[in-house]
Amino acid sequence: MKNFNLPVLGAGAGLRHEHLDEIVQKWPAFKWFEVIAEDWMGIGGAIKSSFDRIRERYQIISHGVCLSIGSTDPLNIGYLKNLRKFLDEIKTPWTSDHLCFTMVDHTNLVDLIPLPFTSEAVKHIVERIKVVQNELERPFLLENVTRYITVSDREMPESEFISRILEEADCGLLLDVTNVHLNSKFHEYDAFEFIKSLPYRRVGQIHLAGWIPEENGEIIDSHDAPVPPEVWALFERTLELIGPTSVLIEWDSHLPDVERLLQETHIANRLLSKYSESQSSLEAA
Amino acid sequence: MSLSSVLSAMRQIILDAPALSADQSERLAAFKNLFPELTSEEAEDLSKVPPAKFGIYTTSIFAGERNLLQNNFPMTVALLKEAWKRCFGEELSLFKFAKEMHRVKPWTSTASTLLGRNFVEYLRDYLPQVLQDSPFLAELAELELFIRKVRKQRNGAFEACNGLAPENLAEMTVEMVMELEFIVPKCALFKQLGYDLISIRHEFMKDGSALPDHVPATPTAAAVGRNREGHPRCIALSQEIYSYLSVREKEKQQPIEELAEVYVGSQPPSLSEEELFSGFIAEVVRLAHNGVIALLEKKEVGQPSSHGS
Repeated sequence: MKNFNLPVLGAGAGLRHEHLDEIVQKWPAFKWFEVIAEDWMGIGGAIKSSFDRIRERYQIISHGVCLSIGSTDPLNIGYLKNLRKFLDEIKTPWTSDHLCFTMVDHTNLVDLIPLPFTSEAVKHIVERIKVVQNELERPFLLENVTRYITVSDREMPESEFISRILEEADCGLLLDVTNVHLNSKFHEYDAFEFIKSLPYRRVGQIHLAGWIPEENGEIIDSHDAPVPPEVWALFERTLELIGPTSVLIEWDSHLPDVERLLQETHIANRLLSKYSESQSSLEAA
Repeated sequence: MSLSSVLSAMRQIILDAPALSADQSERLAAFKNLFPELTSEEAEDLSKVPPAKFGIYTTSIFAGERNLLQNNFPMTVALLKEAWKRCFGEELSLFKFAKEMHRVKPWTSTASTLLGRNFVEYLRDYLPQVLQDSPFLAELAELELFIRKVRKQRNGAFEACNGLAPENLAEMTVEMVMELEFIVPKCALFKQLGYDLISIRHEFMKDGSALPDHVPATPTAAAVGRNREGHPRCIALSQEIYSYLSVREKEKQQPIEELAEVYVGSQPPSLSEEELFSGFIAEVVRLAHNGVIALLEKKEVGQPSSHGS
């Protein structure tokens, strides 16, 4: 298995409402777009009209933020059914969400909160992933989140927690290279060793993003800047390890114009080409 | 070990942000007291987290809610800031406001409209001093919530853009116009307001800063529709037109004659037929332009409906 058996689409970008007009006017040369499913499910009006035009020209991949896979509240089956309708409508070949919780005690925390790395959590999440896979009937990937805290690692480290969930649920990994880089700084470990310890054949998609440090010097995964050199370097080492993979540039606030966003995907595409060629020659040899 | 106890404790630490000691052993004692359902190991694990790190999530969550309020309720927030200064003699921290609102009215689903509804109810039920200063604020928030709903509402079977272009009415005879039908689109919303919020909002939206010195307590019948380009539009209606349109079944074809009768009934009897007809055409064009109604050719007997065409 390579890339969790998913196609390699090249480098894409996150589709944001603010860019719709510019995209339908210029039709820039993006290879694909990722949409935050909850921002586009069940919409109508002008946003829907533009989205439908964009869907005719570009492959759209869905990515969710509200599944709350780690929560102990019951899975929201109504949400899953609406999501399924949306995924069918946009014909996405796979979908993803985050390995975290966003709701608990029926309260929305509106953020990606990390989980304790325990066997109980592994078992709980694996059961829920199976329900999700059953409802959505397409490959499902979980994304490793940025975490500013370690809730509990007395039973196992994060890499084992992720690996066990992916293997036991037969689930794909959306590898956020920026998140690995930031977590390695916050929790003082080697980012590449961490990636190597994951079941990387399950990586179906990669995320890259940048950040602007806060005024107090604190770093938050803010998706508001170009991908920094250290993340490009980690991305390149990852490609060397796992081969070309669909990659997405995330940019969510302080949005640049579409042209600037496109430039970021060009950098990613150049690196993808480099590793496509080296992999072809390896396979030929 | 109980995952649910750990997640529940984290929710409370992050959302309620209790004052936590810098000393880990004191935090451990506090957590054992606050969360008796946690095992010793779970409490100890949570106590290892420096409070400032939990604070990153607290900040991120309420900064996100602050931005949602700011973006979806621009005029309510601008006027709330003014009222806050008058009532409490200090600048409003929308971040603290969002945090307090979340405490008394938790966001219990993933739907962002629920946050909007919480905002309306919080203004109405929890801020008597502010509401005494600016009694229209909750109503304005509700109007802005309507506009947001109409902007995003799923398309109906028949959207304004599929209807007859209202400009065509100018070239039609009285008989041709009276042959037409109309629908109230699925996305249109109606609301009785106690204040003239439509005109002050129009002024505000021109440059995003024009705030009124005074909001007149003039009862206003409001309608929010979606124009042919799919953008939300908010207009005032006469009470007669409001009473008629707001109870029509959405997306059901109605003869335009009925609307004409309502219009004529709302006008002074001194007007000539010509004046009434031109006034009616102008009103229908206005309603259709703003997506409060959509115009259709009359359905022929035995012919399929043009819905969804």
